[in-house]
Amino acid sequence: MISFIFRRCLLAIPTLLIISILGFVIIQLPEGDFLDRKIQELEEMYGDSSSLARIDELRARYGLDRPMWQQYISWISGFVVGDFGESFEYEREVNDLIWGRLGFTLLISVGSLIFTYSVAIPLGIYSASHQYQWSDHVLTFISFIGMSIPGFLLALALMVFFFEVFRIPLFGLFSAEFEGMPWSWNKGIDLIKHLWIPVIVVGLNGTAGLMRIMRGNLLDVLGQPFVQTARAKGLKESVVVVKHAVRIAINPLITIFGMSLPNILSGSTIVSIVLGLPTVGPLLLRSLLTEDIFLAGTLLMMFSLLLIIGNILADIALAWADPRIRL
Amino acid sequence: MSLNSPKEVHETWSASLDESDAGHLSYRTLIWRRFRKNRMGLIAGGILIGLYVIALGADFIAPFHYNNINILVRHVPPQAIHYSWTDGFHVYGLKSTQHTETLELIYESDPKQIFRIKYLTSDVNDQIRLFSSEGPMYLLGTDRMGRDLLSRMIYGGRVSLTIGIIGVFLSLILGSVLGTVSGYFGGWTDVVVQRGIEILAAFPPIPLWMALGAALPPGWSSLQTYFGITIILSIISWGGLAREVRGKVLVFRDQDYTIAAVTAGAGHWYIISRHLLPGCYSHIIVVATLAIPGMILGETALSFLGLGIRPPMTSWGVLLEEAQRVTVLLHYPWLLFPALPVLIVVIAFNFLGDALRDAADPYSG
Amino acid sequence: MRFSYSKNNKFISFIYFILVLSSCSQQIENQDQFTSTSGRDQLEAPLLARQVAQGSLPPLEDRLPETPLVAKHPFEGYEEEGIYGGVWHHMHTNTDLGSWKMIGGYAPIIRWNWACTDLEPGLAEAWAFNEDGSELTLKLRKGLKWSDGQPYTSASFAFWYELCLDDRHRYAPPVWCLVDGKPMTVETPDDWTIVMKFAGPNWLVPLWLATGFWWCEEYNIPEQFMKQYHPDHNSEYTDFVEFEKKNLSHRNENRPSLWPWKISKIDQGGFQIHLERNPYYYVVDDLGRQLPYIDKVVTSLVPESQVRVLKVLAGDVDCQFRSLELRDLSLFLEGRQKGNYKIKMWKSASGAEPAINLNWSDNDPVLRQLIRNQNFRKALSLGIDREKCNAIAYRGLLEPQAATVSEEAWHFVDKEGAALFDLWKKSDADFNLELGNRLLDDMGLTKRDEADYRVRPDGQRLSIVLDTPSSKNIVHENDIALIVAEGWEALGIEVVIYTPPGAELKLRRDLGEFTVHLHSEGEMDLFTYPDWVFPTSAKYWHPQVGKWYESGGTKGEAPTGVMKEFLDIYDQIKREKDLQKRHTLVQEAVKLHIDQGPFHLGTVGRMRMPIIVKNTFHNVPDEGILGPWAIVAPGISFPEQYYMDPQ
Repeated sequence: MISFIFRRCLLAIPTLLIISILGFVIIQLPEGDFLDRKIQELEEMYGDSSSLARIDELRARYGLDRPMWQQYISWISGFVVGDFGESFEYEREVNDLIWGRLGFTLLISVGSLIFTYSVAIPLGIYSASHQYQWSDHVLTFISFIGMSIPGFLLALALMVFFFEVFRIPLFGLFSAEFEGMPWSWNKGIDLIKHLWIPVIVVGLNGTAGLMRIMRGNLLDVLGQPFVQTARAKGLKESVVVVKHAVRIAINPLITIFGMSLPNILSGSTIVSIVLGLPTVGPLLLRSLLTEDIFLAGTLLMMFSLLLIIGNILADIALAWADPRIRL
Repeated sequence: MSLNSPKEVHETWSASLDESDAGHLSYRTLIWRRFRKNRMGLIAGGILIGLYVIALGADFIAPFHYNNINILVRHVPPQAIHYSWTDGFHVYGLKSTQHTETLELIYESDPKQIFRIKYLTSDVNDQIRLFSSEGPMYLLGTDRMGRDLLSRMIYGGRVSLTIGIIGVFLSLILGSVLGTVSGYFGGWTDVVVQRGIEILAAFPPIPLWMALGAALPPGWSSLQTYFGITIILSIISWGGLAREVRGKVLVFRDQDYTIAAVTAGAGHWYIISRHLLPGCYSHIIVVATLAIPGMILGETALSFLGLGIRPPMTSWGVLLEEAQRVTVLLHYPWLLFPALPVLIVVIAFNFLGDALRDAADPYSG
Repeated sequence: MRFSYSKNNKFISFIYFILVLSSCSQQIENQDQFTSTSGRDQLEAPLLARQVAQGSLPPLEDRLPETPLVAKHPFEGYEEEGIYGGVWHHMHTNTDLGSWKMIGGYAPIIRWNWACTDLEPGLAEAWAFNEDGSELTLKLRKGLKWSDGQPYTSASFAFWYELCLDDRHRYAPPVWCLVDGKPMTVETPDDWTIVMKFAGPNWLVPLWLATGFWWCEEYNIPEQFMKQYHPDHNSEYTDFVEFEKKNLSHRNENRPSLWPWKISKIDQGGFQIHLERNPYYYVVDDLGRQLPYIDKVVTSLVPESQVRVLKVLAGDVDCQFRSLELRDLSLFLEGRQKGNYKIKMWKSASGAEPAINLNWSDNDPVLRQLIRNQNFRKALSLGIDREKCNAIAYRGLLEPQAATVSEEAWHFVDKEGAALFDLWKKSDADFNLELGNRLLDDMGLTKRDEADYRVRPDGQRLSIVLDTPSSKNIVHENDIALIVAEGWEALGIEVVIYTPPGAELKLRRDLGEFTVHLHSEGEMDLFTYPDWVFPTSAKYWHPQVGKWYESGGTKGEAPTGVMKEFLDIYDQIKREKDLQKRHTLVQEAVKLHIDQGPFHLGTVGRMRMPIIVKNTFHNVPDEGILGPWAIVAPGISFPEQYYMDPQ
């Protein structure tokens, strides 16, 4: 087992390197570079791009006239000292941009994970222990709806609903009064007020799916002989279910948890775009669409790293849970 | 324990599953029988077949062409169908006035104008349609260009539903072949394939998407672009399936019957096709069925980002993206209807997949 | 067998707790310390007066120039002199703050006046050419100061021009500094005089100095501040890399500026920008009180259009000029009461929203022949159902017309000009499929293939690729493309709508590889931005001829026939001293468009642009022109004289 983990971690390094190279190339595959895109965007939005009067100079300043391998080398060599390059769009260090957003991203993702697990597990248990009763059917149906609504639609609908009916504006993470102001108790409350829509929308998909899995696993376990024995011994049903069955049924969920690790950063992307949240997902999307190569490349590496770690964890969990597998 | 031939091993195993049928039943029949008992699965399957038939028959079933622009009927709310002895099924005409302040168009039904619903008549382009009428017949309302939403949903369904199936089918082939090979042979093959999957999976689908999308020649019609896009979608997603299959194969590889087959001298292909894959079939089918809704939702997400199906073609994702505005939610909420078929299809596929999984898994029940 | 609900209970009470918290309405204290309620009797903002009293700021007479610029307001909507104070909340969509600079970033040496019919003094009090137009003398106001108190003198302009000539620095002298390829020379006989000497007559230079916010941003360099990053003055630096970074106003809060509000804080990578009043600002109101009235501006980056809509409806925005769509107009109209704002309908002064540009030098020789045939272009124009475009894309608020520049442009102000413009608007702007089909038949394109499309002279199907921006970005152009396609298909032409993602469209335009593309069109001054009418740049409907002109004849396609006529007229304009004669020359070019055109096809024009103005926000013009960036609207309305009611 240890040697397996060690081997995988070692393999991760060349993998990441290859990903960085291929990613860098792919980011620039679409026609044109950052400046071309910026000009087109200015023209589309305002009909005019004269404000970008010095295009060739800008191109030289951004280093966009250098060959790709040169750009790559200068970027990747900065990794060692923690310098991830500069973003063209925002004209500041990639570091500055990411760390600020990272906090909010984690807040939403962790929040939605907590939401997901704390809602899905009890509901799954309930559903399994009341199998085929009407409450089970209702829950199953609701969970399916939750799994199939496109997130962007739900986010916008909730936002508009709350705005129209309750006149509570819930876009962004802060109300106008608190933006840019230093942290305070009121600002924290404001944040929580804004946070619950993204948390619920992001968590909804996962909740439904997880609930189904919990239900399925628990049903499997409840059919096992040892459960019958426990009941025969006279144990209360709740004790049987919670103390004995759930413990076993929950194991696969750990695997799933490992696999949802990469989604921590990207899962809230679409919802964040709709609600205008300052998180990492929209940053990545925008940087990819505008070919902001260093920002996009760095974010890509972060996502890849998480994915690789998640895969390793998932593999470990798989091997640990199922002794039949020899690796 | 005497060594039986692989064929006998297989048959005794499957025969033990269903006591009520002595003799040799094929694996497929067994699955079908078990599946039949699951009511939800049957209903879901029925709904899906119905939807696919409607979608594929869009030219015939939809009342209008999906790009039938008509400025006189922009943003019409859904109309009702009325029935009377004299006129049969009919719709009322519309009168429109413009709100002085908000400049919105307000429509009123005019009971004096009666337009009968005609059946199996041909329209302007000599296309025979099941239902049509000479007047406005907008059962789900119209959009900003006066195009009938119901028709656009049906035509859009044709695109979305087929993308789901074709895309998953391609992923299936690619994924199961590679997954099996990787799991069975192990060693360096496994490592290479797994790393390859990882690298592919770590790729941001969006720039890959844009690059490939931009590489499609400008002269291609929407249809050709659509096929190109489907292929691209499936290429990106086969990795997950390969991983699943590999997991299963790893389990089966070490089963007694496999070892027995190897000892009996069976060749690689024989073992793969007769022992490993059948164990995986159920899993593959279930995973595929459950992947289709993912692909449909993926198409909606891509269209939302503006990278999906391009006009003049339409799909559910395009329709939902057009509805993604505050103005729509507040003033023209009927444009949100396309969310309903997406929901139904995804739920149906999930029920179907669940039922298939229960039916195919020899260890359940 | 009762199942224990304990797990569920805990969770439910947690949710309840959150809901209770969020439903408590909080009276949030306005933590803004800049609000003040007095001011009409004072000559400067109370905020600044306090600082003067404390001794941290020089008194007003020392801060203003000897003859400050008096803000003008020749428009409806100006109520009265304002009170000091307030925070202006605004939204921008791009990190380079372009939309804000159009408001508060206009500090040029010479300004456009409100009607864009003439130039007025800005940082310069007066300017004059010599006899033959080869020398321009500018007289700056004495006593102008940067926002950090340093004097603004002619040295600043000289410093900028030095950089342009410096090889180590990336900037080259801008095109308007060159005559016949030779750059100008700049002399500064004293602190308040700038003399620009050219190799020949260069009458358009004052227009260039006044155009756009980007030129004045460039030539207004705080040389005292920037010297610390200049390698010649600071041995720490060996190149201009750091210099260029620090020279960007939207990136460097410390950089002194001449704007009414200077940038005080850049938050979160441009997500939110704070601007505070410039104590040395050189503009005053009619009573001699120093502007601006408003103390502070907070502008937030809001890239998602629906969030912008909701912010407006929620009343979070005090005054917003751009980044709002006409499609949401009814929503904005409905929400006026709840959001406590009014809507002022400005115009974008556009002549074509969008224009349909046909590539005069199409790569395909057969198509090129066809496009150069006037009747072909007329037929295409007759195939556009402009009423439909108007109804669907703009709710019928715009006007169907041929592709023109702005009707308000100063070339068409006189009677003949106006009459000519009217003719231009109507030329070939009807929707007449019958006539269109007839014209195509008369051209000899009578053969049809099996799909009933016309066949070209070389036997292939007549097919046109229409470059269209993706519907995600500009829905109305997409819709119009569909309508145009419908019309042309009725003429027997196959239309392929091409909407590639990314910057592909722009690249195809730059390289001239398109056949047809859409571009909105409007321009107030054809002298500085002639390329709608004259093929002077590698853009729009004349990529190759324009390239020839831009490169001085080395690349592209040499102009012949009517193209040459256009360019000859423009060259005359550049050399012409008399303004009125220049206008006449422009009108001659327009006549060519009417007689030998259409070179690019129009759809609808006169776009309306809703401006959101809170009811507590005053002195914003009721009507104005917002479109072409060259004239920097609303900067030319002196936004420093907008004021807000006390909180």
